[in-house]
Amino acid sequence: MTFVERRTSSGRLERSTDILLDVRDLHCHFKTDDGIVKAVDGVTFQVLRGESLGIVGESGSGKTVTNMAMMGLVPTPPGKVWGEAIFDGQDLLRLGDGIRKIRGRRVATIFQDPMTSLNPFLRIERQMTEGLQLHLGLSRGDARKRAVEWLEKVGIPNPGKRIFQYPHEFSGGMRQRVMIAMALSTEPELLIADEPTTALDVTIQAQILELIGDLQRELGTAVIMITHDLGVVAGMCERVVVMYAGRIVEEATAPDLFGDPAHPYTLGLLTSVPRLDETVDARLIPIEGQPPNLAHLPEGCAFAPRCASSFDRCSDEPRLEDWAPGRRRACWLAGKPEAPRPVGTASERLRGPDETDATKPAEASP
Amino acid sequence: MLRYILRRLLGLPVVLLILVTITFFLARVAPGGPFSADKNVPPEIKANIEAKYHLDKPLHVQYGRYLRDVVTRGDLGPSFKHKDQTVNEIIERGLPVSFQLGFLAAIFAVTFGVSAGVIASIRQNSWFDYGSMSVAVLGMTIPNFVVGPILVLLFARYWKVFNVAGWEELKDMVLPAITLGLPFAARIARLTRAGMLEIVGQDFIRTARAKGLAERVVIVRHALKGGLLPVVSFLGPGLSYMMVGSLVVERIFRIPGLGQEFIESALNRDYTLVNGTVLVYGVILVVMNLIVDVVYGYLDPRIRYD
Amino acid sequence: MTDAPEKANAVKSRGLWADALRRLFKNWMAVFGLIVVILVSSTSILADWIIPFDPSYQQRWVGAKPPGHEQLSVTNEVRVTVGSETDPRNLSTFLEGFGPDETHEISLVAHPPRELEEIWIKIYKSRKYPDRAPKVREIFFPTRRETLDELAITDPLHTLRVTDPLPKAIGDEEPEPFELPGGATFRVKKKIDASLLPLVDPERTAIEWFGTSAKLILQWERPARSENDVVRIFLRGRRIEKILMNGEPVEGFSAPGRDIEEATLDGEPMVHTHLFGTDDVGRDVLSRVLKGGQISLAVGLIATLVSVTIGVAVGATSGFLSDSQVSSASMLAGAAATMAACGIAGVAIGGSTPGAIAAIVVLVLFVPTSFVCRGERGLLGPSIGRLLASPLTTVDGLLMRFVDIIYTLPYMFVVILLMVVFGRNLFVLFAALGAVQWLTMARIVRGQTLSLKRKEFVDAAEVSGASNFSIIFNHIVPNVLGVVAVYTTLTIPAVILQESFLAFIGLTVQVDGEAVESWGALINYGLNQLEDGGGRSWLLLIPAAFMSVTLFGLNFLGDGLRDALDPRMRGKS
Ligand SMILES: Nc1ncnc2c1ncn2[C@@H]1O[C@H](COP(=O)(O)OP(=O)(O)O)[C@@H](O)[C@H]1O
Ligand code: SF4
Ligand SMILES: [Mg+2]
Repeated sequence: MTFVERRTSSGRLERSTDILLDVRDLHCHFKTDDGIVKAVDGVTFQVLRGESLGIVGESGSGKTVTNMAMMGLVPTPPGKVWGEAIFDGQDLLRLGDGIRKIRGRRVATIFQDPMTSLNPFLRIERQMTEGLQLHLGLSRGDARKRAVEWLEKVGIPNPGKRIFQYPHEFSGGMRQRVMIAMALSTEPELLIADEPTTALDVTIQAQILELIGDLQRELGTAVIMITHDLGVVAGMCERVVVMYAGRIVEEATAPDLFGDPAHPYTLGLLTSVPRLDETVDARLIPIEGQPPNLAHLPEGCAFAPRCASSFDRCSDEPRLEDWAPGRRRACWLAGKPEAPRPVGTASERLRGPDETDATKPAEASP
Repeated sequence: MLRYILRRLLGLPVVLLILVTITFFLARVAPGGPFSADKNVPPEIKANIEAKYHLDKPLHVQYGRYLRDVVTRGDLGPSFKHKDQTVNEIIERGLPVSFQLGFLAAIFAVTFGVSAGVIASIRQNSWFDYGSMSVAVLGMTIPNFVVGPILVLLFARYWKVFNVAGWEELKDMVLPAITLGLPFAARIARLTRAGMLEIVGQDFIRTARAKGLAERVVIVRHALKGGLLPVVSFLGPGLSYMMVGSLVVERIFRIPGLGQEFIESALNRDYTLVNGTVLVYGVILVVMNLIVDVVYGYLDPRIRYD
Repeated sequence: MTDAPEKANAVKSRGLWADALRRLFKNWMAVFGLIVVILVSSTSILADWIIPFDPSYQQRWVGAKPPGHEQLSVTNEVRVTVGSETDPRNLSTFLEGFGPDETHEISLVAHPPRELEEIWIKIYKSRKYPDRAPKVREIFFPTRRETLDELAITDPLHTLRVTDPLPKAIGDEEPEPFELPGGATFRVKKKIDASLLPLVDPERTAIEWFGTSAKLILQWERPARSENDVVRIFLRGRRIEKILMNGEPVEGFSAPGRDIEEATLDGEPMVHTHLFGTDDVGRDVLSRVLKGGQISLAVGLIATLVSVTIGVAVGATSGFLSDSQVSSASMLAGAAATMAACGIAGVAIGGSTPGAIAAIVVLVLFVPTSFVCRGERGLLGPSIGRLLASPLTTVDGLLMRFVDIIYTLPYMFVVILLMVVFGRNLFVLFAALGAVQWLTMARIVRGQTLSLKRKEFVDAAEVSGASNFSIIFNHIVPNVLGVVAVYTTLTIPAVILQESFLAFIGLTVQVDGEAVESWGALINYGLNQLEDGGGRSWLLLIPAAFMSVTLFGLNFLGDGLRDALDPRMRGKS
């Protein structure tokens, strides 16, 4: 029996077998002119009922493709998907057309860009009611009532009127609220939020995250929060999966991950962003180099070219293995990764490169 | 929107007034009067004829009279070359035929073009895609005065499935409608395919799929409207291409439509008839363009008219 | 990291055209297009040398024959030079040897023309079969007059056809001779429908010409019955200086000044192969299609070249000067250049009537003016430019309304209107087709120039003190050439198509009163010649194929060029 270890509110590790989604050895490769792009290459993770799981990684690490592959949204060709994604006992990858009964009904998705994720040619009303009619068998009128309720719930003023407007008449934040209402109105068991706040202003970001968190608690929905922003994960998720080059390199509970990163890449991620809980003088260390070309991955550990701790063993491929109670990682290191050499403080980096060196005489500006 | 339509409609008479004026004076600038080809006409008869058509009056009087007749009675005057017929009679005879032809061709073009384009976009890179798009390239490059005669050769002369000339039964109408519609079907197919491919790649289609909608619903409800926008915006210029095309098609299939009358009048220098037909074409164009704009605005809510 | 792109750029700009060509040759559609274009245009240009037929030469007795038809016929040319004091009645020429079911075409050309004072044509009937005399069905005269009675030649360069039979030429009585006064080269074509005529006594069934010319050229052609078939010519007269048959001196007639009573020349049967068949009056289809190609390609090329030259000059200059006050001057210069070019073209083509000139002035004047005034805000410069332009802009505003209205109509309608009003001559056609094309070209070039102008190398040239002129011609023009090449190859087929469209609906351009038969006209002709069951289809299919293949070729080539030169493709494989 598969189980998942998580920390209770008191910080104690606890085992749970109440698994909603069990993704096993998921692959998604794309055939391109450049070769075969291994966008997702053997990803395994679980989501418990009602829990929120974060998936983090740099852009291009395969987070979105993982989500799309599970939901059967990857265009084939050029894509090729295999593995298992067992949702409540059913393998999503083997459902064929039957997956439509799950999409939108039991698993809903919010995409990154609310500007482009809503159909500009249809009224909000049509876009919201179609899912309700399809999945809940409501009449158009009932569906509309439900939709208005949901718009109200996500904080859209005057929803009875605004529901008849088109997406371009909404601001970015409002559109994302509409997307959230649309996704949750069928009361799904799992919500996949793929970078829901990336395209939004910082102030709006916090509101949207809060909204998702509130609704999740209220409905008991499980959430997969896909993001490249560790801050988002820290605030929302109980457990975190770190992806690099189409693979999971570390999996841990959020407190473990943030307090004690086990993989050099995770450590790099953590030290490359300023953290609110650190002093301004904490040094920021960017991860050197570029994310790898997924069509031509290096032999052995994909992170090796950028890894400060790499050693001769790294030319073999590390596997994702249990490392400590409740956590796994894919790295040959015996112990913890050593902290990389700092290059500047957060405050310095935030000021930007031009003003970094205060001793330099200011150049005459035109 | 309503205000926009009203304003466009108010602009219509101005456009037409200018069109009437231009064509009237253009015809009078022409070297040689309309009857100069009838040689050896005794001067007194010539004077009679000119009096009959009021050509003896000063130009401004002629213009005033023409304008008054056109505006108040819609009277486009007598034909110079068809004795005992007015331009109105000739147009009333030809216009319905041309309308039918254009309508049939448009139906053919839109049905074939849109369905081929949609299927090609759904089955991108399939044999259907390659096949239909190659045919479309052919259809766009080969002019209809080549396609039409070849269709006549095959279907009317060789196999004798359809008729060569006339405009009475359906058998008469198939080949002309295809000939006229083919380049538009080809163009529409390509525009539809490109438009659909662009729309299908958009995020909101992924959203629609993620909602669990059936593929058919995704295409019809979510993709088609946006995917057909380029087609709709092509309809405006397309209509004017179609008018030009109808000149050829009516000639190939000897259809007694407005296009034939226009060509005949142009070849005979029957100025009143030329002016009349051009005016009718102008009105149709202006009105149809307005309709296309309105439809576009309806289809794309992001467009705002004011 | 820093100098790598610069190097790459240097390599790229040096090899820009080489690169583009390499890409072009990789694109097999474009290569196909290029080959087709070269093939069609070279055969069209060389048609006069490689095809042994005159495209307008009719062989009515042949009629429409399918491709590959081999025509056996007797073709001959006899040149007779006579002494100066010849009495007109003393030189006569008989042509004999008519057979059944045959039509003959004989032409008689007199040289030098001023010495040809009169020609009589007499037709004798057979002594053996007096009731079956030959019937003259048609006579073509080099005149505009319609009947023989009125035979007074007004314009010898025009041909008019007489279809009434000549009653006086048939029967017992000796036909009344008619006269063709001198003054030019005449070509009398006499067609005799020999269907009523059995094989007759050759001595007595004949056509006889009389003339006072010092030299007579007699040409005829008729189908040969066999390879040994001959036509006999009898020459009668005095003081014949020289006789050449098919360019060769005729034996027995070499002695100058000899009086000849009667002599016989035997014709030579020849085989012509009509690769693409003949039309209903026996004209060779291949030579007609190639002639049509010459016209279509010439129209396409000339209209395009005119519009490209003017478009590039005006577009580049205005684009370059767009934000200085000199721009209005340059645009006026552009307009003047346009008018000058059109004027030269008009004089060259020679068809310029006052109406045509009016058309050109209207089309050419307002288009560039509007171009000047409607451009960017700063186009005319802030102070002087605006002052200069204010009367212009008012006029321009009115004219632009005019243009807007006219352009509500499909463009071809406007061309048709102009051709109706100002006549169907080449000049009006070029003006009407070219006016819009050059405007488009100028717009494209102007846009391209504006964007190029902001590039560093122009700045560098400016800083180093290069004059505007040298910047335009050393830096901007070469870089604009790509766009121009693409647009040119795409404009040619468009113009060909438009001209053929007009020709197809009957608005053929006329030169010297004769319709110029481009591909469109030939296709129309072929359509009208179709028979039930698909007979004579080659008359339609061959010009249609030529035209379609050429249009395809040009379009593929243009598309290929565009892809090859597309900057976004640059550097990619
Ligand atoms: N349709 C596709 N064809 C080829 N490659 C693709 C396709 N979709 C995604 N990829 C590749 O998959 C990789 C992972 O992308 P993605 O999952 O969007 O990253 P993330 O969401 O983590 O930013 C990227 O390198 C991308 O280029
Ligand atoms: S396996 Fe080696 S290279 Fe990879 S992360 Fe661990 S230490 Fe670095
Ligand atoms: Mg993503």
